[in-house]
Amino acid sequence: MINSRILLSAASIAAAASLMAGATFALFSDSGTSNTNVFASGTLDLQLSNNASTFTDNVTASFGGTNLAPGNCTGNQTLTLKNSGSINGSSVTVAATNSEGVLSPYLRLNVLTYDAGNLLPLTDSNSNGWSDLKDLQASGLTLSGITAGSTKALVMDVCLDSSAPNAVQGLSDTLNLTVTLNQ
Amino acid sequence: MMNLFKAFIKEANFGLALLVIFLAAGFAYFALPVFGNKALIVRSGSMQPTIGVGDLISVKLPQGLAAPQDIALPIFHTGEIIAFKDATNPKVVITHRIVEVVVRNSKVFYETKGDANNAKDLNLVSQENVIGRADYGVVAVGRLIAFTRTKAGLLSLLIFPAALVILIESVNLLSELKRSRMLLKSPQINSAFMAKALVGVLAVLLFVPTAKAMFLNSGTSTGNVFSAKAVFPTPTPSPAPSVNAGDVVLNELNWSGSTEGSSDEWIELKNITSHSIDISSWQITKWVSSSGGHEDLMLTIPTGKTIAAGGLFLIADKSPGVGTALTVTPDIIDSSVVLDNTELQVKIYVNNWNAGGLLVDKAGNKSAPLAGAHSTGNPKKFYSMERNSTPGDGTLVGSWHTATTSVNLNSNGGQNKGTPNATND
Repeated sequence: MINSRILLSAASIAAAASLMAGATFALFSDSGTSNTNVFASGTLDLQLSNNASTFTDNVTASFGGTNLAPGNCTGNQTLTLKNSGSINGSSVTVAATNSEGVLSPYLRLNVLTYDAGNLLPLTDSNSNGWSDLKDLQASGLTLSGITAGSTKALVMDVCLDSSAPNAVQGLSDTLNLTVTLNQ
Repeated sequence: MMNLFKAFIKEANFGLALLVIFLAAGFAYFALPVFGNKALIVRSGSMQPTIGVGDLISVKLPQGLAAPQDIALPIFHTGEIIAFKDATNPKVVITHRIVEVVVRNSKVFYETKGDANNAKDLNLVSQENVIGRADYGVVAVGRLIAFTRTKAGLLSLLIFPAALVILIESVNLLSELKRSRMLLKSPQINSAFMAKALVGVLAVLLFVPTAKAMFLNSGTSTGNVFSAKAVFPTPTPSPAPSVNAGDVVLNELNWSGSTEGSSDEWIELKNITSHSIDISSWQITKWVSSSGGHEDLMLTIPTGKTIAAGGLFLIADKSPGVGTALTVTPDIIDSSVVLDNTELQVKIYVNNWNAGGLLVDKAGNKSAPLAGAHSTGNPKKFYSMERNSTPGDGTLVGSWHTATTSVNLNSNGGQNKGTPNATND
């Protein structure tokens, strides 16, 4: 005859053993796919620079050119992005606006790179056959993240397309970029 | 002394077990979906100081308000903190505060922002992606729970206690077996009820999911000015193609006047090439019958006049509306346009006709006009002389025909015919 105490003890052993097995399995199957045990204490802080040495939250005139005649280009100009925070950013988004809708389609992106990777062509949303600042406004950019403390460069060379008509003579377009670093 | 200690252990054990059960019940209500709540461990700090890193929060989806998506009825409100699935990666749960409720296409969306972030989240949150509203949280408990998921945590909080339970129960089991067989009284190790309960509770903690309070941070680059030159430079002109005889033809001559007057006369030129031709300073001459007959200058074309490729150019005697049947504005108005009705010949030259200018074309053979009609009787006829589409030699009758329609011309009941500044019949 087996008394109830023996049954209870056997059941407890079985329960504890299966718990151990289950919990261990849960931990190891989980750790491969996510980093849910990591706590992100600290901050994310995106700073920008026109010269890659002095970083501030907001900058002006990173890109641009004056007195552009058809066929003229600004040459490569660089905006450097820095994660000045203490945690890694997983992605960067760039939103662009143009002040001048007639000129901006003729401001052709001759070069557009991020972290030395080519981003052209953009979606030709205005169907003019090339990537331009108006297309940039329409599509925005989704870029790779930046680890804490490191930098990545956004490079642009903008040309006034040689097909620019006299109607855009003397027009001026101001491009504003909002760059967001996401955790 | 030993007995007293054992008694204390037993009582304390029972009390602790009760406490653990009580805590477990509270936690179950707080964390288990069965009760409408869901616990989340927050593992980043974008909601600081409201929610800190490692806090445990409980989110609740209000009951009975699961509105269909097509009814624009927001369940949550501005200022509330919600946990939601990330639009781009549904595995990631984010806990942020609603800054605006947006209704778009009859669907409810929430614009969200982390309290510690300087910018709103990029994507709107659709109502169906919301897990629930964060009503309360327990500071730092999440850290303890997350600790159970580390290897050290698993060992110290789960594997070790569970092993202890197995050990103790094994001893109990053996002694029970011995007692039942030999009927010997053997010492009982207490059944460690608390330890067993604790193992159970900790095991549940393994399954509490985590949420991010997603950080984001923006910078701007403004005032990037791109300006076009005020005046674009004129491209270096390619040398104008040299003009050959026949490039411009005398295309239509209205020598007969019109119902508006005998001096309502005009000349139409045509550029038959595929490039524009500058006719500045070109000269047109006429045959003058008097004094035995001689060629003389009719007019010089002013500077700045060109004829586009394949284009027409009209030179008329009269200003529109003043003694003319023309309904089109001529390119040049010059009262020297006088065309002889009996000995007609007109020539056109590049520059000075009398100083070696190239003869480009001629019309008429110094006798009666080769085509056209003039009659002041009944019915009146004032019909122009039109060049054939293949211009040919303008001094031959076979190169011309009489106008049969009126274009850009007041026909006055069919009495005036011609096609000034329009394609010939």
